[in-house]
Amino acid sequence: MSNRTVHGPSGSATPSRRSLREALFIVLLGTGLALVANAISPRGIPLVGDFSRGAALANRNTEELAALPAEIDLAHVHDIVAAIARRAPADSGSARPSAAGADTSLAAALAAGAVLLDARTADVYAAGHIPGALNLPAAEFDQAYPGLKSRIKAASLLVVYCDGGDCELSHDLAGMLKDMGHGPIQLFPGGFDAWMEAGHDMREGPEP
Amino acid sequence: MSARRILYHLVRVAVGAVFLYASVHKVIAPAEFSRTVYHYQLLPAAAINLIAIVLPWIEGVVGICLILGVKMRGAAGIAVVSLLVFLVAMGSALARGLNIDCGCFAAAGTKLGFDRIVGDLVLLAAAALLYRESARESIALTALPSLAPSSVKESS
Repeated sequence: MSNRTVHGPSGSATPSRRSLREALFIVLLGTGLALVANAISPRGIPLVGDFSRGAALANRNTEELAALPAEIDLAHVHDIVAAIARRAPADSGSARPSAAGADTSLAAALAAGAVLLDARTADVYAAGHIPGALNLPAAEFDQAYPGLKSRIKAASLLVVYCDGGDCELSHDLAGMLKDMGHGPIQLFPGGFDAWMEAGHDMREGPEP
Repeated sequence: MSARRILYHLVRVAVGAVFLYASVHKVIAPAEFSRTVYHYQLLPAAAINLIAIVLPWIEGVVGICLILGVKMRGAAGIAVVSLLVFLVAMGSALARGLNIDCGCFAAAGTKLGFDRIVGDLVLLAAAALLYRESARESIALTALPSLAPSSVKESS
């Protein structure tokens, strides 16, 4: 490792030029292949992307955009959190609709059986989440899903959220839940940030 | 073949395989990878897609070159530079407290963490050794053309 090959004065310039020449060849070859493949592939994306509506919606084709779940607003999430709190005062009871609910509207019925899912990682969830939300990290879906499957199946509505803003974990999780045949699913795009900005309480700690 | 040469070829193929493997999912899913690049918050929005399209292919070509042992100096050089760039990108993302996908081996879905930094450093060391060794090889070949076996001579 320490013995250097002794070479003449011209020897140092030529090898580095050769490195650059070879590197340029590889970069050009890769770029050319990439542009051709991107142009002919159905999975190709525009050369300049539109990130004006956040990363979660960027580079999705019209079919993908149409397949995204419906969005739910903060007020409705607040109703769901209240319904979950009525349903299970302290512990994590099963997802049965509340019999004591005075409101009989469809929204209230859905809220009563709704399950709120936090798509963020377990440590972020433990640092603070919307009260009553269950943690189903999109990144560890396969490990976390079996433990929550029965509660998800029993839900009348699944509401998925993450941080809000550019966060797209909720989109990922909604897609995975849809693939598993679950529904209806709604997305809370404002997410945890919007919940906190509205001055609501959060809950800390891991999933009960 | 000396032990050093055997080690060189083993490392060459191993690093090449890692690069090729790392490129596949990103090549297949450019839309996902573009969102991962976006989350690093390092590039202007206008550059993100271009990088997301081109980078995985360069990664793949580098991997193939390393595996086949062709254009070794260029491939090892790009490997070193790209691993340094990834190191800076990942380090800055962790320093900023970003909780994002790594984009290392999959376009999305694998979390960025310190283990990825360690992995990058290991690869970086291997790629740097490959670059050194391939430079040494080409110097030796140009300095002593008469001693170089014709089968080892690279066409360029």
